Amino acid sequence: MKQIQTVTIVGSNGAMGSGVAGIAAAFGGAKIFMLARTMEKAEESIVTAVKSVRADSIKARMFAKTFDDLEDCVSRSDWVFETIVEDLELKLAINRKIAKYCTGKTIISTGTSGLSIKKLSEAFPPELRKNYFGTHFYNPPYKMILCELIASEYSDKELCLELKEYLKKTLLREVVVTEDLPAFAGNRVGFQFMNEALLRAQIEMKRGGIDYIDSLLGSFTGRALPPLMTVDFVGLDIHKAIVNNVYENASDFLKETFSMPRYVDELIKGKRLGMKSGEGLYKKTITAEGKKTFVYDISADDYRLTKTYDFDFVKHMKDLLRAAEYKKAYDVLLNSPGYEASIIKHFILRYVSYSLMMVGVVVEAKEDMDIVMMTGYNWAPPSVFVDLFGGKNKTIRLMEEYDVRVPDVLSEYCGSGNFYTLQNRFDYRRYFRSR
Amino acid sequence: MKKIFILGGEQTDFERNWHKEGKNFLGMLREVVEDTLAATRLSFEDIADLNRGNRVSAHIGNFDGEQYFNQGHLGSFFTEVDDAFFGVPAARYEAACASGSVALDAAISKISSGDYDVSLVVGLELMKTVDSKVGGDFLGTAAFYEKEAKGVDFPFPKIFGRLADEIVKKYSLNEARFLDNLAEISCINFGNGKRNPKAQTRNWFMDKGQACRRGTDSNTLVGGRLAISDCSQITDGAAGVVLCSEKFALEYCRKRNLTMGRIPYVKGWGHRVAPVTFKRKIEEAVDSKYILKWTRQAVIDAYERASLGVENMDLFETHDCFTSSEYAAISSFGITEPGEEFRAIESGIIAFDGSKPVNPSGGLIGCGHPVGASGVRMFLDLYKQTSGRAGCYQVENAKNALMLNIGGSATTNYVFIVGI
Repeated sequence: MKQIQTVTIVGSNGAMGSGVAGIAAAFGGAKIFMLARTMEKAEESIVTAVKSVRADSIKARMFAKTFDDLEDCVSRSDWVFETIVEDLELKLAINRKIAKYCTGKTIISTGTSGLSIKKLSEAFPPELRKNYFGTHFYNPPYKMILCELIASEYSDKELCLELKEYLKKTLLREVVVTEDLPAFAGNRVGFQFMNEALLRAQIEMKRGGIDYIDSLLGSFTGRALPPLMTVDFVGLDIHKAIVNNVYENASDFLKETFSMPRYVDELIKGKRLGMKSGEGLYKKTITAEGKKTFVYDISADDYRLTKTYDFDFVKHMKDLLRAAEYKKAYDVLLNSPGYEASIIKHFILRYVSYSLMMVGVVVEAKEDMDIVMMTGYNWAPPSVFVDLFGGKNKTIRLMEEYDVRVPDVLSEYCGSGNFYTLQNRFDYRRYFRSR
Repeated sequence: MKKIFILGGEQTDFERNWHKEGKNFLGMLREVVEDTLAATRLSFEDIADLNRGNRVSAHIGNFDGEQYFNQGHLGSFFTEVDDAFFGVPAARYEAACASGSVALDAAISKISSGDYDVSLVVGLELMKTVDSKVGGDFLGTAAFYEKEAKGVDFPFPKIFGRLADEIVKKYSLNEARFLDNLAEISCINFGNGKRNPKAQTRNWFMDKGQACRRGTDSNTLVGGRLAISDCSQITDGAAGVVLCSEKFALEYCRKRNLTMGRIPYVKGWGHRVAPVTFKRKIEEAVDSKYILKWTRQAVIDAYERASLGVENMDLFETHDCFTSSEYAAISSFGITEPGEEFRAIESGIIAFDGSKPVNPSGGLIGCGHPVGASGVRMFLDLYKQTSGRAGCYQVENAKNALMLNIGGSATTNYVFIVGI
């Protein structure tokens, strides 16, 4: 296995920089150079990294540095992990600098959430491009254990395997190898879902819009957080950068679902970027009656208190999930004829369909997509819905009924038993919350 | 004793937080019963068939359902899992953290007496329904509440901190060396937990440096010399096993084309109750070589009933609610003389690849400690190890294994030996 004793984190003050530094210092026992724009920021990033793994013992292995120390740090490192702002030109520029100080043995990787690894690797001379990879960790790395590993056409295959082993065995990641395509696997599927939810909120603005959609696609549909709350957590600007990248660079039959709704653009223009700026799709305000959550009302272009939406079938589903009756809960959904149930069915079927369409394109196997969505997003694995919907044939019929494309992986499936095959390693039930 | 066979079982993923999932104790019971039956290739129809001949019973070990989730009478809830349990004799058993073992003991007795052929045993605890301080107070009822826990924040870390103090005093140990030994115990358990796909801490970080940094922000002191790294954590979880008579095991093997000789069975057991308060325990044991004399006696009883000794044991699952309790267990098992436990720790004897591995599952510190479930979880692990089904944490050629499950401050002591 690859011996990685010294790591340089380029851009250590971001959430991913400090988070990856934390796991490399902890599980990897590596010495870490924390590079930020100022010493103060670098020192702060060490504090964050230590907190992220809840272990003071790693502090002694972390060293605050600035970009002025790039030469010294890179030349002494086995692995250089770049995680600066998500901007192609800026990343190319820093790569050109890193290139000057690498040896032929240095592994270089980027934490980009979806830019082209091939393009980024071209900042390096040909002899170093083979050492360049995408290592897309999820936030926060200590808790979210997925790492998508992306090679470019220049990458050394043997080195890729060694890096995979290191990420898996030493840093305890669930490693999924993905193709070098926009947003890779997790964000391609996750952001399709979330952006379609944003678009649907606009369509449903008279019914309530944002919190209406979140109430329908909440935790009981197999995710820790409802999708639009997740967008607010990620940040609307980051969301936009990721969907724009897919919209512009991927050839995709669902391309239009990656287009930004106008109201989100307006929120971004008004610097209402989500949780990090205090308001976005939601905002929390202290009122005389205590802390209240407000939601952006698309039709009124203003915030209002969030509503509680009561749908009998949703309540019934949650009651069944509370007592761990998963199949019965989804039978309730399938047998509910109303408008809201049809929205939920559409989104789940789309999620299953789109995830399985990635098989053979972005990832190798359907199990890869299941692992990506569970360990990167905290969402239920797409395959399990096929079982909850009553198996292959029933799911195909539903997809046809809801005008959702039937993926080949499903139509050509001829296995017996459950479609979801990872239950012994990953218990899907934890993702269905009664909330 | 009659041979009581173990057909298998399952545990929930101890990493799960059922409160966050919005699930109730019935959901947990349903999952563990369904998974246990699936693991043993028994169906609800089989349970109903057995019940028609009055051949099956069900047992649930649980410490504190009334306080943690406001529900008593847990034995009756198998009927909510499936109609097959209508009419099946079932009850709840309690002995604090040894509740799972009392449930096992009852099932073993019922089969041994010939009353039933098959018993389903579940241990279950849902603990994350309250914050750690309130939970700590609930756990205080496992001690003599009025004397040892009332008005005390986190009484058990303090009691086991006192055990650490008493060990140092009784054996005149070098304190630094002793604390280093406890840190090593912690690291071994965390390390073992990494191999166990159902362990609560499988993705957590712990190393010796961290375990030794007691009193820092990330490893605060919780009871005397003991810090967070010396403690098992609050866990939600359940475990289930199916036990049966020799007669049923023969039927079972014949139908499934299995070899009887590969089905683990209970070889020995011990059950001793020490004075309830920690103070009286220590006073009573002043003339004994063993600091926990009734723990040691329960182990001796089990060895004698099994006609086996420490030399025959291939692994141990012990009750490391705190590192100090594992330390004292090492000599209770007979791995070393009392006062010389450090030898087994420092030489690697109790490590996963040592000659007497302790807690290959990760134990309570690594795997987790849903209190009423722990006894059944340990017993399940003895089954997995001796039947070669422990996967990534399999101890090679494990034929005999011993577990120690304690309730309170080593007040109730239960020991089982399982083997093939």
